Amino acid sequence: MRLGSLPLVLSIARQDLRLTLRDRSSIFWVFIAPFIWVFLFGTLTRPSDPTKTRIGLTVLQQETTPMAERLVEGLRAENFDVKTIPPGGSVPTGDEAPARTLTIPAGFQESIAQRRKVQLDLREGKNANPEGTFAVQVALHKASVRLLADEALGGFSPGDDTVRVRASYAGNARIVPSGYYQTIPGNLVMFVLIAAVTYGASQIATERKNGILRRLSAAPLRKSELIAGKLLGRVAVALVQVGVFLLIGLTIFRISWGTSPAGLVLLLAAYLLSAAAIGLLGGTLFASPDAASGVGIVVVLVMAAMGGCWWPAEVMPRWLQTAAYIFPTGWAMNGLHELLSWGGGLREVGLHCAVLALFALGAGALAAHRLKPVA
Amino acid sequence: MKSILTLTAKDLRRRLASPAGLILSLTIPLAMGGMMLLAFGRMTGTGQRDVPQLRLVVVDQDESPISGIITGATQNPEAAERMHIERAASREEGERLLRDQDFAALLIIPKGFGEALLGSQQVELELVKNPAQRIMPVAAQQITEVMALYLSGAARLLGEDGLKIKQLFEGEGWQDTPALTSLVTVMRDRITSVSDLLFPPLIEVGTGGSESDEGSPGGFNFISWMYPGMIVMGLMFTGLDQMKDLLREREAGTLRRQLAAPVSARHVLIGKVLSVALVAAIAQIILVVIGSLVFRVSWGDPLALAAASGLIVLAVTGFAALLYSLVRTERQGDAFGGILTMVMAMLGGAFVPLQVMPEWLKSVSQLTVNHWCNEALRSLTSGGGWSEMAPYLGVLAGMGVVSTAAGVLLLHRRHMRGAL
Amino acid sequence: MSTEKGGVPALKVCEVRFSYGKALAVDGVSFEVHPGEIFGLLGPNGAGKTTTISMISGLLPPASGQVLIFGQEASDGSGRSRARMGVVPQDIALYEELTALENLRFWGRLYGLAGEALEKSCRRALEQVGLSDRSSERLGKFSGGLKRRLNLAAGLVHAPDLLLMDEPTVGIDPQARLHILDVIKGEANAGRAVLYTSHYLEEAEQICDRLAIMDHGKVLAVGTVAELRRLVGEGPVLNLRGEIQQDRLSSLGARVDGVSMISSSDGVASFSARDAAACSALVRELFGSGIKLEDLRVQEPSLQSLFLKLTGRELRD
Repeated sequence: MRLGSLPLVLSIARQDLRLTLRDRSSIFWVFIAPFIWVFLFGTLTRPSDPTKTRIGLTVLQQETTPMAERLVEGLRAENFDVKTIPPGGSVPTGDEAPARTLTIPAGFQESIAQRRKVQLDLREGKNANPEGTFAVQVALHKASVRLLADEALGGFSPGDDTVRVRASYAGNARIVPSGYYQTIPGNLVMFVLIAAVTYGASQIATERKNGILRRLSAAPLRKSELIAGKLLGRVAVALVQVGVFLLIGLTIFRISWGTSPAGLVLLLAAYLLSAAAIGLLGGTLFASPDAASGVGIVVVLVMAAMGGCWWPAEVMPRWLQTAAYIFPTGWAMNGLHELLSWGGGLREVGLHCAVLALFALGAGALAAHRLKPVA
Repeated sequence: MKSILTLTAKDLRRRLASPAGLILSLTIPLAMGGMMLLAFGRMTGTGQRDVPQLRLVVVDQDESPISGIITGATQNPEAAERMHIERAASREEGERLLRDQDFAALLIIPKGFGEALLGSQQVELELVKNPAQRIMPVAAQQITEVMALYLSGAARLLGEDGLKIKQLFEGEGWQDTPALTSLVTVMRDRITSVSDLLFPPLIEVGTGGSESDEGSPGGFNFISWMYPGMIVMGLMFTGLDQMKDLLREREAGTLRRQLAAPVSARHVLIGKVLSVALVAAIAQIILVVIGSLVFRVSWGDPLALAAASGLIVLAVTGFAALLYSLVRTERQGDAFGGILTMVMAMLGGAFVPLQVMPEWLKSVSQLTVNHWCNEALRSLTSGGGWSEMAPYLGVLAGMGVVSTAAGVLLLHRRHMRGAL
Repeated sequence: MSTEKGGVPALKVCEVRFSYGKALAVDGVSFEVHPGEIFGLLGPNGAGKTTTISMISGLLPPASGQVLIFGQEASDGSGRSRARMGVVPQDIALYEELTALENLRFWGRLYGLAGEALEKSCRRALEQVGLSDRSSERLGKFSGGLKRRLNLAAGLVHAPDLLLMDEPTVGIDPQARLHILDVIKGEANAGRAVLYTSHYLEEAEQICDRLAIMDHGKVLAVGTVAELRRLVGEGPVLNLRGEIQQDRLSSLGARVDGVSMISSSDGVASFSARDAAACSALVRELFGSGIKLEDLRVQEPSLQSLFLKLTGRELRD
């Protein structure tokens, strides 16, 4: 690029930013829709730590012997919110049906006294939260083992425990990514990419279709300047978007963005560049704006899901967790976790920034190579 | 009537000649469903969701026979299926593994653990959880607490004889054969007294239903739960895209041309809405078939499925007609339609079960088309029939008729004002 | 299909008015179109032509006045009047995803054709516009000129008695334009009434039997081309360009007998002369006046000069 490039590049970028901010529907999608999504998802997924939450459990007691009652008390001690149905009662159905029902069968106490196996029947309704399933099974196991140990050892209450567990979180941040802490970074990463790829790509395709790209190419402008201007325009939109996310995260959802502003700024800048470059590349791949934004949204959704924007990456199979690093979203999410969850800084996200910059370079170079002013 | 059919046939022909938009509308929910399936729905042959493998780092600072038993137990074949355990030489190395290789938690067995356990003294296992993970560290904590429970029980069982065992581990007392024999006998008796209760535990927890049945009642089948939500979302995108064609035709001038022909505006609008319904019906068939063949969803009674599908198509068509009677431009339609579809999908229970929603959100959910569509289909995939589905069908029929009629009326009124 | 001029007009527009909000778009427009004639509606963009066409084709109800098509109200809601009308809009209002034949079949069906009659009509229309060999090609593959031809065919497929043509030759090459104009003349010769809107004066002069000139929602003049030219004057028109001062020109025009000023503004002016002698006298005065002239043209009276006289500006403004 030459000395006089900067004003040209800035003109193009400013024009793109102006066009985007004047378009009411892009305002909606870029700034308003993400927060509706964040609010809903955040509300639905918090609190998420079953050890801090009481899980609802309906216990159908087919007998009310002392041992059955002790089991129920043991379940309450394991943090279940227990509702009991006495013998002869029935479990509600339809909309009133409980998420989880445990049946203590008749003959429970006698079976144990006779040293016969006894099975408690656990049923989960179709709307039971799948995340709670494992916790419920572990807690049931603990309660029943404690009951049996109590029986075997002539008394075994939690106060008798020799071995205790002291749990804490690693890192400096002391924040668990539940609720808004999961959804805000994840949605920031996803919606920035959506805006860059759908609006960015479709804008290029539209400008090609209506002749503006041809006109720009006929202007005293180098291709590199045009590309840089288009990239900068997208980055500018994304910057405004990220700024709004950071502000709303801080003020309304009250999350902390970590302890390293420099790390955060660098990581987000690298990510925005990569998103803008991918959007530009998308615009060079499709002739029609509808196709560019349509295919773009599918690609973004896959990248967002794989990158851990929607759900905690650790629940995915190991190969999928590794595959996340094929996408810039995976690097961005991992970097944000370093900053927000681990309390890391510039050093910890240096590699992430470098890789994201490489994504930007690669996509940008390919876009520059493919960009044609006419279809 | 003839003109309505002519108009509808024209739109169907155009859509089939250029199916890219339809394919894209279907791709979004299939891609989302596919991703969710990859992430959550490990196919064990039943569609039941499997628990992800727990990755744990262990640092044994004690290096006693007792801590050796613990670390050995975590590496038996059964545990190895559920857990991936890595040994670290130090806390620092353990924390590095936690951070760099995405382990869920670091378990530190402190120095003196074995001695304290055998001496019935209170001792702590330290568990350092990965702060960047939400679910697996919690599972690690629960498993560790179970282990602590067993260890506490063992300590209780040993009682004062624990000290004698400690001396044996330290190499003392092996020569005192009578004492040793007495200790072994006591231990054997104690273990025997508890083994019939605890090894294995007499109380089992059964999860109900047959493991070989897909979508059977009483068990949570993730795919059968998830897929209906994806179908409904796909249909909504399809319906909206097809209805948007009204504005495309306005832009291209063909709408004006149709209105200048000897057909009433009402017929033009009805023809358009009918084409939306037909394209949505085609999409529904495709998604149901893919559900059966790829995701192995069981749909139950075909007649019930057909009835549910028909009313879902009607409801989705009505939503599209109503939305496009209210927006002015294609961009508005895209923006509002897109966000409404996604929000209603979420509120309707496509991504998160209704059970986890706060009460007020559950009420809001019932205002969405998605809620009723999802529940109708889920009642089929969970083995229900007409009686389970009936309440949902009634609401869907009402919603569909009212919204379709309102949409057509509003569009006609707009035409009369010259603003179509 | 009526082949005689006179009798019931194919189209009768009586004092129609229409407003978009407070803006009066059409203000008391009246004219008639007879079978076998090509009637031109001329005017610049924003004159009210398209709004008038919309009222005729039943898309907009007139706020007042009447539109009769072969004696029937256009906006009676029955659609009967529209069945005898063919519309060729300014937009290429056809479906890119469908083939040429599929497009014509659709429009033919909407106008009541079916079966063998539909097929025959579609083939005839394609032949008429010279697209028979491209009937199975998708419209998306056509050039702009070919699309315009098919656009015309879609308006003709049901053999309408009245054709509404809204700027049918916009943006196409001269050859395609000539072809379309030939087809239109053929339709008129066959007895159809054609209402033709345009802002291309030369084209309108070429094919229209009668014309109406519109501006700001009103019809300023109606008549044959010759009648409208005579409104300017019998003799030639002088168009000047140079360092012209209005007051000097006015006095100059007043000194020469048989000459009247059509219009003048900074740097340009037009005069109409009664005959060649008056024209020569004016030229002598101009050269003798010392006015610095850059351009001087003598032309036959034209619609452009009529428009200039009626509105004070060129049709191209």
